[in-house]
Amino acid sequence: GLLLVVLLVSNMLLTKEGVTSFPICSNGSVNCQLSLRELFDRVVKLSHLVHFLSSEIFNEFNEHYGQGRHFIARAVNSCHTSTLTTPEDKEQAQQIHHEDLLNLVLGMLRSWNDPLIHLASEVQRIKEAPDTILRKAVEIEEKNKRLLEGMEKIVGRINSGEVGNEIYSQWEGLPSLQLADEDSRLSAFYNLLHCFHRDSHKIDNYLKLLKCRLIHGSNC
Amino acid sequence: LQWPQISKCRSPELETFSCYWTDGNVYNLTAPGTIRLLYMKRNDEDWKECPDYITAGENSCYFNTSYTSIWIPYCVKLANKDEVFDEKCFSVDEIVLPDPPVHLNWTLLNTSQTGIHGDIQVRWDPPPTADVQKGWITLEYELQYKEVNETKWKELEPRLSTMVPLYSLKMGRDYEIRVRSRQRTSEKFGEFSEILYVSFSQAGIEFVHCAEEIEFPWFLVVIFGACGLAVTLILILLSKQPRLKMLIFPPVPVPKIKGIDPDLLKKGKLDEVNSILASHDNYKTQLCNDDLWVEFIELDIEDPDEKNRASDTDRLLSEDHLKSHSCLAAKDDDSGRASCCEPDIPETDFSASDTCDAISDIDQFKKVTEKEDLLCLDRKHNDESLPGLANTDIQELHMNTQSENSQPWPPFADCVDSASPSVHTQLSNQNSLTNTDFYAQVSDITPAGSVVLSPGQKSKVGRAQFDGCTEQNFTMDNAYFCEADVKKCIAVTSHEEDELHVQEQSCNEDAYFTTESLTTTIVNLGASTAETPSSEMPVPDYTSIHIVHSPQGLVLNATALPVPDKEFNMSCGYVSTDQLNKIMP
Repeated sequence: GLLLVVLLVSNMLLTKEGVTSFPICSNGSVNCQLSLRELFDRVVKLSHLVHFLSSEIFNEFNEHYGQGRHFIARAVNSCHTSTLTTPEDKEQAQQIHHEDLLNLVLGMLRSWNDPLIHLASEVQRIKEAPDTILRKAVEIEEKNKRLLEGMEKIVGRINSGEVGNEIYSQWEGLPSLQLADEDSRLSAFYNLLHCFHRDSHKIDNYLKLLKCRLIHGSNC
Repeated sequence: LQWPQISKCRSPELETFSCYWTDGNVYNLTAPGTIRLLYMKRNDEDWKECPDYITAGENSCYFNTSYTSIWIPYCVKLANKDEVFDEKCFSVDEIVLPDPPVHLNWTLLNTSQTGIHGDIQVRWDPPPTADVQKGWITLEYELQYKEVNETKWKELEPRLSTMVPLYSLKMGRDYEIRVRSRQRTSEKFGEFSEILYVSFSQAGIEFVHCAEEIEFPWFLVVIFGACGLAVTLILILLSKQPRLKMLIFPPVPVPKIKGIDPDLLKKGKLDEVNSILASHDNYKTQLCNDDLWVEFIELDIEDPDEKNRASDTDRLLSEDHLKSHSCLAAKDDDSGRASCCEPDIPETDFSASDTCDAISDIDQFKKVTEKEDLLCLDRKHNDESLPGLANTDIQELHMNTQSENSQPWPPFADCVDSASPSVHTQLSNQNSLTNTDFYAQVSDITPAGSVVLSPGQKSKVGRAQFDGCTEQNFTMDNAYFCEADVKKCIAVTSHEEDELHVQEQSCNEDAYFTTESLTTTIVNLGASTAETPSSEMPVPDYTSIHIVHSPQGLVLNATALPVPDKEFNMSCGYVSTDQLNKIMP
């Protein structure tokens, strides 16, 4: 009993000092504010996790459904985000202004919000989809949402309140996920997962680049 | 026969990439140098040639930063003028394999008090090609170490940081350390770094050189543990605490039957044991062995009391209604023993009383003999009585059949046991069958608990004298006729009666035997096509006790004995002494 009381008291004291991981800050309040550093830390962790999950789900999908099927992703790989101009190598990424890059990342995340929701729901209709794939699809969608929120906060912070909505790519691939022919449907899933795997790597890279540039002064 | 092949394409830092191929032994025939590597980016229309064949070494193609685009699919193919040898497609972010880390070094953190063990910290730098500082690529590292003379490397978990402590290294030994790296979301590691040698003596560190190392004295622990455990167990055994003893050493259950004292078994008091066992359902002793037969027969002869007792038949025939139904509940300890010897419970209308008489007789009998056995009626009576029965019955039968003047009956009726009490009641003129015993079987048990008996069918007497019966040599001193023989007789007659069953039916009222079961058996036997389907089997003579529902009653099981073609039928209930003597020396 006494030990419990001691623990509670110590917890309260520690909380007061702001040691908790996720303080809830309301907009405009001065005292309670996540520093940009912390925001970036969280966002980079999330983007890394999302990319990691996308690798896993892509590999599992290949293992499960790719046997005997030749998913020709390279040739058919027309991701819906290819319309967005993104830096293709390090120089380009370094040259682009960080605000533009942030907006670009935000736009990409927004563009993926819709497809990920539909992925989570449509993948359940695949015949004998393993549980791991179903769970990961749901988790990816959740984490991506949180990543989007975090990005919006960062962009709001850095761009001083302006959040541009111009960068966006509409996803029209839902009918392809609902095709009657199973082979075509699985190919559509493969493409979607491959595109997301690539885009999540892009997002992760850009954010790490930005974090090092903005927070650590290019000295990670 | 091996064609040229693209062995791998690799990007060390996500900024450039190179592809390597093998010649293959076929190609030595044609002129070398005509192999070309062509590549095509996703949006290109044409295959382009490799920009740099030199930088990456022989049989390689190097794409510098200007030619490298990340996240864009490439296809490369190995070809000469005429044919394509190999083709590969990929995107650069998928083929990242970083260079090994550089500048490995170690520092001593601290040493143990004994000076035998020490902790060190290993540091290294990321590969120079990878731009980790700007965050373009994120690497994680894996360290491996081992003693110099060992063969197997110990691995640590991959981690992001470029320094790692190693704890508890033996100061007297030398170690080797190596590190490798990979892109954080990939699975494949790059090459290992150069090996770092850790030698404490060279560092000039003071340490104690122990020739023998102190290791945990497992051996002593085991010895002392075993001794302690043994001492504890002995103490528990010797202690007077029964509960503790039961807990540690639970008693092994000995075979035990509820209600039976094992001492009874030891002393050989089988009576009591059987009485208790009989109270259990489904208990049946297996008592059919030769010894039993012998004993039974011997006792039967020797016992003087038996000769003087009134015939069971007498009592059965006397119309004594006084016995209550509950008499059936007598002596459960009789049960179960008569599997071989089937009790002949006389047929009677006063079923309860008569059976009680029978049973009580058996009790007396049993008391005299130490052995169990049982419900078998006294054979001596039968010995005496049956011949008498034969004589009288034959006369009766003849008389009756003549009186009826119905053709089908005589041969058939002859084979039926005429000594049923109902017969007796019918034939009031008849001599008292005082010394005759007869046999009946229990055909049913009424819900009230009384036993319904039906007559045994065949006359055991004088069958040999009748026509239509199969020839069987009976020794007349064989007091009991085997049911087998009787069955044959019936079977023979039944054939003859097939056509005459209608007439038989009409004769039923005038039938010699009025008991219901008797007529039905007759009908059954005679008419193979009777309305009521009957079992072909004649009603057996002997009934064995099957189950004793103590103390309420008996369940009797009619046994149909097999018919071996022998003069001496072991399957019969009883064996005469003569037959027995023939068999046994």
